[in-house]
Amino acid sequence: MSGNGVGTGKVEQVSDDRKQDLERINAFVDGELDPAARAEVIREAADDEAFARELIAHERLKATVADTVDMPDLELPAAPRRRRIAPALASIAASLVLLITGAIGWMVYDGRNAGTGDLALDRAIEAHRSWTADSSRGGAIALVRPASSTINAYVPDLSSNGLNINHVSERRAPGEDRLLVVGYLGSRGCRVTLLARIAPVEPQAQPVYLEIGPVRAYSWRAGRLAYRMLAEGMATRRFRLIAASVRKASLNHLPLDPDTRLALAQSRAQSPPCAA
Amino acid sequence: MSRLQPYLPRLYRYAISLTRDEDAAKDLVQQCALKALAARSVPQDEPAYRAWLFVILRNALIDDARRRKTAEALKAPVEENAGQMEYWSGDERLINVLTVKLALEKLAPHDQEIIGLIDLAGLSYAEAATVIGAPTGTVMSRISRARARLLALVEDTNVRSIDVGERRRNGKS
Repeated sequence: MSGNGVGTGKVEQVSDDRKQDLERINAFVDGELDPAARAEVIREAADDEAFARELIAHERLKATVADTVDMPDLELPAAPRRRRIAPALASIAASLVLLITGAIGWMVYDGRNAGTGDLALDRAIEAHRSWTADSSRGGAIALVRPASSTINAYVPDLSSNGLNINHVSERRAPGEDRLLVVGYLGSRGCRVTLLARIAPVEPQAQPVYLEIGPVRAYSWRAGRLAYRMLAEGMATRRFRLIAASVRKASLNHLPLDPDTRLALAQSRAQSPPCAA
Repeated sequence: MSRLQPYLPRLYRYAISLTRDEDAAKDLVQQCALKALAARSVPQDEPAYRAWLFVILRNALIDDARRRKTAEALKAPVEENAGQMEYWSGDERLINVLTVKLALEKLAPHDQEIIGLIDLAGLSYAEAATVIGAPTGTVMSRISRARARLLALVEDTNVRSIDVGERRRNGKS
């Protein structure tokens, strides 16, 4: 692809080649290309930084557009009634609905609130759910910058993966370490939390992945910092890719490289919305 | 749960792209839902059912006298002469919700509609083509041009993304 003025703010006339490039970029971000065409776009992006930046810009634009609509409570209007159900049948159906609703409610409650037996993980899950509960209620972005943070943690930009920072806070319960909490909100319902705390150096510590019900957790060490990433209901493969990418970048305190960002964007496009 | 219920958020997002008005969008979704619930013949195949719902919503707008002006704009032929189109390939850092929201409101109705179908309602090109009654290739070029215009408008707003570390402590961005 020839020079396209990315980042220059210049306006350009459109040639047929340029039009095709743009259509290919848009089809890529919309998940409309077949695997061979997708691979070709990724190869081209790897060779052409301007093309890669434009690809990422379109990914971000798409994700941001999805964030522009606040969803109200929507209810179905009453359906026009066509025929009456026999009272006895209705009674049986109502009983079944109650039974099923109760069973589902019990299962959801059990899966979401039972402790894991790991106090640090329970604390992390509690931190994750405290901000995700707020974000579920909608409203403005809640960013609380720690007043005197002692945690110089790595906080990556995951916007190319459709995840934007929605919450930043620092927690400290009596007798516990400071905990930096960074919440990422996705345009399709995903909520990812990155937690960081200062901890004694453990050179041999290996990253650990846990999956407990809908909770996905990935923890690792980077020097004096202990990180943990959490999500609920996210596709396992996508979560593990995000977490592993952030871990790798956190070890060097460098931004995610273009290849990683593209891989994350592709993973997002291929993953279902988060279920939690 | 009604078969229609899961589609309400996507229908609302599409309705917002058509009306740019929350109350009007809600009304439109309600009209669409009523018509769908009252229909005697409903597509059994899920993709067909989904497209059918969006067509109902679109037709509800076109039928609505209060939205006559917008509907006329939707029915007007789309400028297909891409050779005269100006594109701007924007710096990604400029993109944030506020600037995009402002820019979306300035787009022509047919651009808002195609972005609404693809980005807000999450339809595939084929599904969007069914809704607007055009070939899939037309959807592909229309979304490409609409996003190019959107990027150009984002640039025109000249609002910069705010770095997280510089946000005020009261939480407002």
